[in-house]
Amino acid sequence: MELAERKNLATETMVINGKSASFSPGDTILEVARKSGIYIPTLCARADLPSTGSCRLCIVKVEGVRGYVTSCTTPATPDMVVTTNSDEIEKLRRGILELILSEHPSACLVCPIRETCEQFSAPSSKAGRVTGCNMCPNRNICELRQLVEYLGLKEIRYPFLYKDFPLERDDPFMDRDYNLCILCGRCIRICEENLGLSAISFIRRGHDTKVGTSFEKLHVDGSCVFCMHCVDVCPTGALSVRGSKWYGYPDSETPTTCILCEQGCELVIDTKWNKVMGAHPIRDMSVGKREYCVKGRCCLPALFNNPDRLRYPAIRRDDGKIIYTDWDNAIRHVADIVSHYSPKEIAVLSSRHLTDESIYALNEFARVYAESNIFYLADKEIIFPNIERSDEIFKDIKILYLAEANSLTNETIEKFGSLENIIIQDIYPSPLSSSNKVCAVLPATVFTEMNGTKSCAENRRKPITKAAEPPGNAIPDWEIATKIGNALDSPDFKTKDLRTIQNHIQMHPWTIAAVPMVPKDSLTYRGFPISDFVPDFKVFIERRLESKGEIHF
Amino acid sequence: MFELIEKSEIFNVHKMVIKAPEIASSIKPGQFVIIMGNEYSERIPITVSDWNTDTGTITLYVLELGISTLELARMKVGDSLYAVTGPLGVPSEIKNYGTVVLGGGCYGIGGIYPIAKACKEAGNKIISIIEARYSSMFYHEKELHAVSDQVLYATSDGSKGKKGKVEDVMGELLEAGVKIDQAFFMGCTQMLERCSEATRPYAIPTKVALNSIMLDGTGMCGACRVSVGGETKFACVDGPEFDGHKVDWKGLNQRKSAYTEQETIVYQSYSH
Repeated sequence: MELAERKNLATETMVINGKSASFSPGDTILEVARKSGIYIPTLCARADLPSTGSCRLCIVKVEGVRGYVTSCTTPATPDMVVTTNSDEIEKLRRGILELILSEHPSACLVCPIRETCEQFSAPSSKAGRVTGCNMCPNRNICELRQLVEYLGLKEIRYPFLYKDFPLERDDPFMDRDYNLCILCGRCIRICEENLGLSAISFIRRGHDTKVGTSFEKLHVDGSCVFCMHCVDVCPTGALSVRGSKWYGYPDSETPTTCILCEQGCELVIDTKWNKVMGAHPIRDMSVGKREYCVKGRCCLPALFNNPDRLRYPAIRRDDGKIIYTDWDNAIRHVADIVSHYSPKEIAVLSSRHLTDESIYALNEFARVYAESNIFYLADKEIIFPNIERSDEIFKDIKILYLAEANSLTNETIEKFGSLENIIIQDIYPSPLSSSNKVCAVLPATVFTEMNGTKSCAENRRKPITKAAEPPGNAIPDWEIATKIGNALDSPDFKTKDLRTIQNHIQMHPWTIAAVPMVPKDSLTYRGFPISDFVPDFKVFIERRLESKGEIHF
Repeated sequence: MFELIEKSEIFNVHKMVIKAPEIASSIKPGQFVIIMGNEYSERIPITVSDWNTDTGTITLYVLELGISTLELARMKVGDSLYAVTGPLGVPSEIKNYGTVVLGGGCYGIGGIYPIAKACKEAGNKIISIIEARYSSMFYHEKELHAVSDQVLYATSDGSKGKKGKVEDVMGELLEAGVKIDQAFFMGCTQMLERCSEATRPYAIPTKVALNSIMLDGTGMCGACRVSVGGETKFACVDGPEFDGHKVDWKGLNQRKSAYTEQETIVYQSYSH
């Protein structure tokens, strides 16, 4: 359609609740109402999904039309006169909601003692089979509850008919209880229309109708990619992410970028108790319109909250014992050791998973103190960015500064003929941590625990925002490298804080551009297999390999 | 050891019949066991609802409310529990009170049965009042009927008996002039508190079986401590039954949610 024509049509008007409202052709009554700031209750309709008119709650009165129409599926027409609310409409909506709730465990919704019950018993109730709100993981964001309150429903006149479907929780990451499902079909639509996957559909007939996969296979054996968008759009507690279902309201929601691979998906981190509790896309799915991968969507909490995380700086004393210490002492110790070597005897192993600022700070350390001996490991391949080097240099190296110790295979270690000292800067202990050459172990943060930026595919530099507190005294990699660099006191080392690093990156963008990217199908974070810390990811990988022979994200 | 002989689910309440001959032959009404599904489980105190010395089995009704009970819920007949310790706690005081009301909700529907049975044998008139959200959530009914003079029901949706809770049914009895000489209540803390408040104006002696967090169950760790009449008591060795009119409910509720963070985070790295 030509712009002029479109503009022309856009001036059409109709009347909603006695007020004139303009609309574009193709707009439904619901869309016109929403644009005009008029609320119409819906359960099946969402602005980011095609409408089906299945829940019937959005009924409105159109002058001259017999009965009531569903506003989500009825297109607006010029001069249409619509009433979205009246006693009669409210009464009908209450009746519809009562019918929906007669098949949903809803006793708590209209229970007079719900508030005290939820205040005291709910926090410790993490039920398998949900029989009421105080046991339901969705109770804080339940759309059924919001509607019960909006319509002032006090009683459900119909007997409760429990569907008695078995709980579905044999899949990794995902719990399903279709006894809570109201058959709104949002999950099916987001999977089919927005993502083009169609992993699920309505199956069976009549009262037995439910959402399921073909042949009722497990999702992991079907075409589901575990992006969990179905969970995001579900108005009930029928679908949930098992690892992230019980924290209730998060203390904060922080938009950031997932840097598990080069894609750099925008992600919102839910935080509670200062820890990452869940990760999900921004609420309006029409913005993203593509599926998230299971790594960013489901693996972050377990990957980052594992109790084995390195917490406190540790150094090797003269008597050979490793002891915990504070940062000042640890940095002094490391600087003292490094100062005994000449630059050509030092090498730095950086990590592709670090933020731009951390990569820059390690680069600077290497440039000033290690003759730019900085390398990366990408699937066992040794990569020297920026500079023409080969692993020939390794035979002169006496001290290694590792930011990704777990990637270092024995085979690579053997190339270092005269190694005397190892500095480890990492998030988890690795087999190398127990080597008697290790002189310091420095705890670093993961990307949800720091601010910064990350250069992703297509040269897009994206913001990283701190969402959680690091464990113990862990600090960002750029800060550790900066502290050591400054302690060594070369006038050439000018890195100080995040701001100066970011300014330097602006001026020398090639230092970052030369760093290899993490491919989308990577199964590791900073050299650690994700499945070592996320048991359901292990299940996912194993089942996928078994049923499809390959894994893609 | 501790083989699972029978297993079924009634709306998140899991009936578990477990081979434990030594416990079956020594347990008394009102006592409990502490069970662990596997060696990494939390220790869960569970009231023993029934036992059979011939088969050497005990019957437990376990609510799934966290990871350790989830693991129990997913066990199958033939599996063995890692540990079943008991009998623990002080048995209920069984004597001829006259008319005894027993109120049960959730696991308490099964939990009040042995107390009802023993009180019946001691010559009491037994009125059992059980509550659930829906009529389909009741269980262990036949057994309870067999030892009760009267079984009354309360449901949230009114689908069986009175629409409401145990205390609503009991309130009707009291208003009708029924004299209650002793009351026992078993269920969630909210229910215990509400029922205790309902008997207070009538000065009916009221025993409530508390369900605080426990570790060893022998009075060593103090995790289950509760304030009763201003005195600190251990639910495991001084209880589980206490005077419902003297329990510090607020303190009990606070202690019960002390590990919410850990109980929530453990789901992140859990896999079936």
